[in-house]
Order: sequence, then C-alpha cells, then structure tokens
Amino acid sequence: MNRAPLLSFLVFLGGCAPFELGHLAPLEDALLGVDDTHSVARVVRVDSDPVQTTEIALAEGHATLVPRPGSGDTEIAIFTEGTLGSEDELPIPAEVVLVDRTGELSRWTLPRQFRVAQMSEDGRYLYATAPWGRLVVENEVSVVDLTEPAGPMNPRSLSLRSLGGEVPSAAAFSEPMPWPDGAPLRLAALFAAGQLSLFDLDRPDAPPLTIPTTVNTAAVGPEPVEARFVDQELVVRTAAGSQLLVVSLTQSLDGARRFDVALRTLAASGRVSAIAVDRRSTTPRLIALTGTRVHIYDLETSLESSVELPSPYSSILAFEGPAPGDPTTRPRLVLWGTSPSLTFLELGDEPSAVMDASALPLAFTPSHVVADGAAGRLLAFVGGGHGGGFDVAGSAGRTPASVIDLYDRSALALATTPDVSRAAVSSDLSDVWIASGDGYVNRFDIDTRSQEELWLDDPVQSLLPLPGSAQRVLAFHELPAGSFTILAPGDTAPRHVGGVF
Amino acid sequence: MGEMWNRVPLGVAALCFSIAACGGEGGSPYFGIDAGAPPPEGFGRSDASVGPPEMEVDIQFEPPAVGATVLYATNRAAGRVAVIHADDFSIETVRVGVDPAPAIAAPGRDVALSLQRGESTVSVLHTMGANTTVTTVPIEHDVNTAAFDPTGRYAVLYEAARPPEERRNFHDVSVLDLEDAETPVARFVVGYGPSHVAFDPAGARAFVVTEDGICTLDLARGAADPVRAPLLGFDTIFPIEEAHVSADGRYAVALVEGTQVRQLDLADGTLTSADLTVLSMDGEVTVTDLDLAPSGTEVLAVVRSHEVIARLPLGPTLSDPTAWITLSLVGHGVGSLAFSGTGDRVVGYTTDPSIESITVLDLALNEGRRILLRKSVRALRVSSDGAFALALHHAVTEEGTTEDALVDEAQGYSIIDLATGFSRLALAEAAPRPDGVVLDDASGHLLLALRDDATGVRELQLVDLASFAVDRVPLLAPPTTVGIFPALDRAFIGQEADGGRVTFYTWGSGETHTVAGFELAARIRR
Repeated sequence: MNRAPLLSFLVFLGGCAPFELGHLAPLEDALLGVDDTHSVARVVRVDSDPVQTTEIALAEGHATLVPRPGSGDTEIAIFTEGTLGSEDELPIPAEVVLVDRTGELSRWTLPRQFRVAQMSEDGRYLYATAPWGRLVVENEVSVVDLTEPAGPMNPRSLSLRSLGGEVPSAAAFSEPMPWPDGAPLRLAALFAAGQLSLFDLDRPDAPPLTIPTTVNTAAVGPEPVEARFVDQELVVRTAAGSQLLVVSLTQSLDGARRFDVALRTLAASGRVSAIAVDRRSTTPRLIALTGTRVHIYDLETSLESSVELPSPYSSILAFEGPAPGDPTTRPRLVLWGTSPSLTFLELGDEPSAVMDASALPLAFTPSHVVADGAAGRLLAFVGGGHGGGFDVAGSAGRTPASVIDLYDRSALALATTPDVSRAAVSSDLSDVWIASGDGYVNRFDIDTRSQEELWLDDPVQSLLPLPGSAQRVLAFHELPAGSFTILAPGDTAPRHVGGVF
Repeated sequence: MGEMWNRVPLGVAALCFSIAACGGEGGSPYFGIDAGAPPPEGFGRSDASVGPPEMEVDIQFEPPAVGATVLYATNRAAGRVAVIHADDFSIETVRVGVDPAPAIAAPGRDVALSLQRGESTVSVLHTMGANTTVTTVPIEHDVNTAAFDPTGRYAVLYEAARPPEERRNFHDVSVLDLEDAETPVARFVVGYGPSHVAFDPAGARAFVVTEDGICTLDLARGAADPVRAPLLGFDTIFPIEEAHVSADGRYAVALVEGTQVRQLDLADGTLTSADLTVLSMDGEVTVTDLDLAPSGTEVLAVVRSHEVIARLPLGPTLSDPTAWITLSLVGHGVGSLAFSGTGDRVVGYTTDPSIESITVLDLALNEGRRILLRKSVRALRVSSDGAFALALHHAVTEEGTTEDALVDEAQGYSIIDLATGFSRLALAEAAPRPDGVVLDDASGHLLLALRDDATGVRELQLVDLASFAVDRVPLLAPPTTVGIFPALDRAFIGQEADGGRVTFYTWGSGETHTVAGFELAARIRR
C-alpha cells in the first residue's frame, strides 16, 4: 500500500460572507451546501481543478433539501419555510429553488409560509403542507409543478375538505391520464386522518371528492400513508388498516368535475406495511406485505393469493432473472426487512399466480439495504445509517456489509478486522467504499470483486457518493468547513479540497 | 269448547306401537308396529330420569336478506342498503330511513323491506334488472319483523321479542301491499305479544300467533281505519308460549299448561282439547316438544317423561285417545322432533349432552331406526327432501385424554344420511352457529361459516353432500352470514369488514368473486 501524496487546494472565495453549513447534498459531480442562517446556498463543482463555486441567494427561513426523483439525482429543490415577520420586517413566504450542478434552475414563491415540503414520486411536483403564521387555515396545501415556470397557476393551492378538523399530511400525484373528454386528467390525492381527497390539478378550485377510510361514523378512520396510481385506479394503504382501498376513476355525469370514483377494498391478513405494483403480468398485480404474509392481488379481478412469511418484512423488490436450478429469466420478487432472512417469490404470468416461494436465511440481520434490481443484487449493511453513508461503527470482527446475489441466491460477506466507521455505495451501485477511522479508505468493486486501498492523511468523518459518470465519492475530513478528498475508482492520487464552506 | 277427557288406562284406550332400541340388543334395527297389541307390562310412568331441559335451537337455512338474485346489505349507521347483484356483482346503494334494521327479503323475490326504527317507516325496495326503487311508507307503530304471504303480495309487519332489545309494541300489526305502494297500510290490533305469522295457502288470510291466542287478518282489507282482529283463544289464562298453524290454515294447536294439547278450528273457533296425562298412570307427564306434521293431518307430542311420541290426529278426533298412536321410544332419549319439508321423515333427538344419537322415524311406514353419533346434539335440522340431517354438536368437557374425550371436547357437526344411517363427523375450530349454515339441496352442498374472534378462526367449510367430503376455505375477514342463490348456482358469504365485504362462490367452477368496500362508497362526499 502506498500513501498517495496529498494534494491540497484552497478555494479562494474572495471576500465571501461567512457560511455556516446547515445542509449538505450531492449533485452530479458537485456538492450543494445550504446555510439557512445567512440564506445562501453554494454549489461546488468538483470535476474541475480548482473546484468552482456558485452562490445562490435564498429566501429567509429554515431550509429543507428535497431531492428530485427522476432526475438521476442531479437536481435538488431547496425549500425555505419563510419567516413570521416583525414590526420592522414583512413576513416572508416559503420559497422553492431548484438547483443542479450549474446553479439555480428555477424559483417559485409560495403564497405563505409552510413548514413541510415533499416531492411526488415522479419528481414533477413539490407540495408544501403545514402552513404556519399568525393565523393559518391548516387545510391548505401549495403545489409547485417543477416542469412549469412560476405563474398565476404555479404554485396552485388546494384546500382539503376537513370533515373533523383533520389536516393534510401527505399527497400523491398522478401522471396525466388520457380522459374521455379529450384533455388529460391530472389528479392530486391529499391524505389526512380518516380520509383521502382527490383534486383535479387543472381545476384546483373545483370541490374535491372526499373518500372516508372507515364506515364508522363514531370515530376517525385510519390515515392514508401511501398511494399508488395504477392506470386509472389509485391504491391506498392506511396506517393501521388491514384493507387496501382501491379507487377507480370514472367519468363524472355532472358538470361539477371531470371525474367520479367507484370504491372497493382488498382485504389482507393484517396491517399492511408496504405495497408495490408489478406490471410484468397480463394485468397489473399489487403486492402487499403484512407482518406474516405477502398478498398478491390481480387488480383487475381482485383475485388474491398469499404466501406465509418466516419473518416480518418491509421491502419489496421486483426483478427478473434466473434462480438456482432454474436458468429461465422470470419475473420474481425478493422481500426483506430487519430480519435475518430474505424470501423469494417466483411469479406466473397471471397476476395472482405464485409459482414458488423460498426463503434464504442470513447469518446477519441487515439494517439497511440498497437494492440494485437491474444487476440482480442487494447490498445489505449492518449498523445505523445517516445522510451521506452508512455508519457501521463497531464492525470489527464481523460483517459490516454483504453483497447478496439474487440470481445465485448467495451472500458474499465483506468482513473487517479493525472497525469500519463509514460505508457508502457509489451512485451506480457498483462500488462499496469503506472508511476506517485511521485515514484508510477501501473500495470494493462488486462486479469484478477487485479491491483498492488508499491512505488519506486525515481521518474520514463521512463518505458522500456523487452522481455522475466518474462515480466520485467525497471523503469528508471536516464536514462543516467543507474539507474533503475527491475519490474515484482507479484514481491513485486523489485530490484534497479544503474549506469550500 | 273442547270436551273434557277422562283419564283411561292406556291398555284399553290406546293403540301402542313399540320401537325397539337397536344396537346392543341384536336383531334387525328396523321395527314394526303391532296394531292392537296390549302395552308392554309395566308401561306407565317411566322411572327414567327426564334429563335436562330440551333447548330448542332453530337452524336457519335461509338468511333473511337474500332475494332471488340480489343480496340486501344494510348499513345501519349510514341509513343505506347496498343491493348486491349476484349475477354480475354490480352494486347499487340506496338510501332508506334512519336506523334501519337489517333488510328482510321476500322469499324467492327481489323485494325487501327495510324497517326504520328511528322513524317508524318502512322502505320497500323493488329490484328490477339493474335498478332498485325505494318507496317509503309510514307505519304508526314499531316494527322489527316482517312475514310474507305465499303469493308474495303481502307483508305483515309487527314487533317480535328480540332480547336484549327492548320491545315497545305488543299489539299493533300492519299489512303492506307490496304490489301497490299506493295502497295505504292496513292496521290491526291483535293479542298481546305476537310471535309469528302463518298464512293460508291462497294468501287471503294471515294468522298472527300471540300470547293470547290466534288473530286472523284479512289481507285484502286494504285502506280502512284500524280494527281489532278477531281473537281465538285456547281457553287458558296462561300465556301461549308456542302455537302452530296447519299449512291449510284450518287449525292451530298449542301446548297449554304443559300437558294439554289444544286445537283451534280457525274457521269457526271450535276448541278441542287433548289431555296427555292419560298416558301416565299417575297423571303426570313432561312434554318437551309439540309439532305439527307437515302433512297437516296430525300433531306430534314428545312425552319425554314416558319416552313416547303421541301422534294425535288433527280434527274432531284429537281429544279421543283411541284415535292416538303412541310410539314407545324407550332408551332413545328423544326430547325434540325435526321434520323434513315433505313431512314424510321425522327425526327425533335430544339436546341432553349425555346422549349421542338420533332416531329416524318414517311416519308413512311407521318405521324408524336409531343412529348413533359420536357427539351429543345441540341443534338439528333435516333437509327439505328428508335425505340428510345436519346436527350441530355440544362441546363437552371430559376427563382424560382418550380419543373419545378429545372428540367430545371439540366443536363440530355431523352430516347424517338418513336413508343409510351413514354419518360423517367434522370437528371444527369454532362452534358452528345455527344462523351460519346453508343447506342447498339442489346443488348438493352444505356451507358452514365458522368464526371465533378470540382465536382468529375465520373459515368457510363446504360439504359435498354426495361424498360428505369437507373442503375448508380460509377467509380474510370474519364471516357474518351465508346464503345461496339457487337460480344462479351460487352461494355467498358476508364478512365483517370496514366498508362491507361479500364473497360469492360458484358451485360448478369453484370460482370466487368478492365485492368489498360498497358501504364505504356510500360515504363519499362530492
């Protein structure tokens, strides 16, 4: 092992204001740091030498970083919740700034202050809930279409029909659906305790359809926690319910709105902890996990089959590939959770058909799993996780991580002798980076099984993988100051960058 | 009034027929009737213990909310009824009144009544094709029960005793013309505490059985002020606990004061009385069951204290002991009777937990035989064609761990082929409920819904009546009711689920189809 020479670079900021790093997130070959005390963000591009920094002014208020799905982890929305104002200052509303490695892409100002921002699954919408201020109407939600510039209809406000004082907690959004009247239909589903409200995004002023989650008029029903649009249906999972609600969209017969709904429920054996939609059958199938069983439903006919599970699972991955003794590539599922086993299901062409089920016991209990369905593997880590990597402290003498081959149904353990303090998976899921507390960094190439070891002069506090073709990983030595070493596969002379914040 | 009967020694007055106990005594299990033979020596009051009281439990094969092709599922809290079409599984939801009781369907028709306790109204639901219309009619009194005449045109509405519900209406009855909602409801005042209603075959008259006697209603009376229905009593100051009306509407019979069989001629009010104490040398008898034979020609009384069944002919000879036929059932332990729909097969049984047998009687041939079971009976019903009987068993705590002891302790039921005596015992994880059973003679299946919330049992058991094979179908939600749609070759299982849930089972293909969430749909706010 040779210690790579240290190369240190100072980023000359030339009279910049003080920067207190409050939030950090990766961008494509870049780093985003946010200082919500001074209402400023910095994008630091690390693919250039020296690194290049772009500053972005933010509105006042506590900031939240919301990665944008579907962007390949290249875009992040910076949400600031606004301020209350004082006798000397006007109140400042919440704001959304979309950034990428080049800096600011777009900006939207919301109609008032909000505390919570969440992103739709497809990354098109950011919605803000929990309005705050001196007097608020708590059922208001503000929705930003990130594909459209700011304007009178963007953001748009939705008002939940509160039946008993409940407030919206989360939302789900549909893609534009072909609709009989010719114009695509886009729906937003707002969740609140005991109900689900459906809004036409193109007619936000039209009254919503409010769907209760119980027929019991004497109590508030369970709260929806997850919903998935499947063609022209919406499948809803509630927090404590053993039934799934299926909302079928139909054309409305009156002029008040463009859609109406029909309801049905799918029963499960217990509280449903996770759902997934699998489109690899003749018609979509719905997979639902309870504590002891997995249910597979044909959404079209509501026919159901179920398999008893050896352990409670919470995650579902659909993949295609062979299996031991079965070289045919088939649609399969793997289920896992915080238990020392996995369960595999082999599915048939018919939606509710389960051809086989088998369990794979593990010699360890994973705490975090990174799924790579395309490559047919799971990366399982033992130990806590935090932003920017996995904390596997106390790993000496055991397996801090394991590569589980879904095709071969085997687990390759990565053991360690000294403690491993941090671990991370590269953005393309092909490398595992591990840092021990003494300055050594190791890389394990999952595909080739090759290993690399580097010595960095300073101990590593955390590892942050960056998206991008170079598969860079930043090894932070002093996080608040922004001091790090840029690592890349095969790079034996990594660059050290100091003090970017 | 009926003539008084003087006690006559049985050897002179009665024809005796003995039924020998089968099994350990050898010989043919069948027995014959010796007409005119003197009674066995020593016949008189039996020293046999009468045993524990008979607990009559009626096994319901026809859930009340099932029409010809639809199921009416009531959501009481929402004041709505979901009409579930069993042919295409479509669902309509219609609004009825406040606090509706479960809907009651007219047998074999897609017409149902929803009785609103909160508003004193009745909603009539007519389902034709894909649509259900609702007509609400005001009722001037509380109702919780409806009886339908054989033609299906009229419904008689009243309040029956339904403990623990508080009963508030003890005398008022209304008649609704289901074919003409414009016809005002005809209101009658009847005797105290109506318990059930019988009809004459033409559907012209209804007979309301009350604690005071029988009241006759003219169903076609139509609009008029309330009237007091003529009451025919049984000449007793004691409340009539049970009375039966013959199928032709000619007679009503009741057991009065524990030993007297009283027969009312409903045409002219003639009362005839038969004193069953004549069957005992010391004048004391215990009668545990009194039933009209479906043939309509006789009434059967189980005199358990003397282990005999007395067959009394309906009509003017009821009171004449010489016209009676007594069947000795010594050693059989019979306390109750169950009849086939055709009436030619009667099964005697007892709910005494110490007795594990039934006795099959064929009234046409006056023959019968005892069938030993593996467990004691708590309820029994005979199929309408008399081919099968379903016995629900006791679960009796036994000492020891022998197979017999374990069997006795388990819940279960038996299907008995009454022709051959073959019985199949099916043990169950939960006690089969009398209202959780459907016997479908046409398709040859029996359905039982099993439920035990404490242990999580949720199961449907399907019995093939040809082979007696039992299939178990686990359910995702606790079953509440089962029923059949004979015309559609389909059965259904209602289940307890937030939002409603019904699973349909097609006999031929074994396919299931579940509709669920329909009650939730009724609460959507638009």
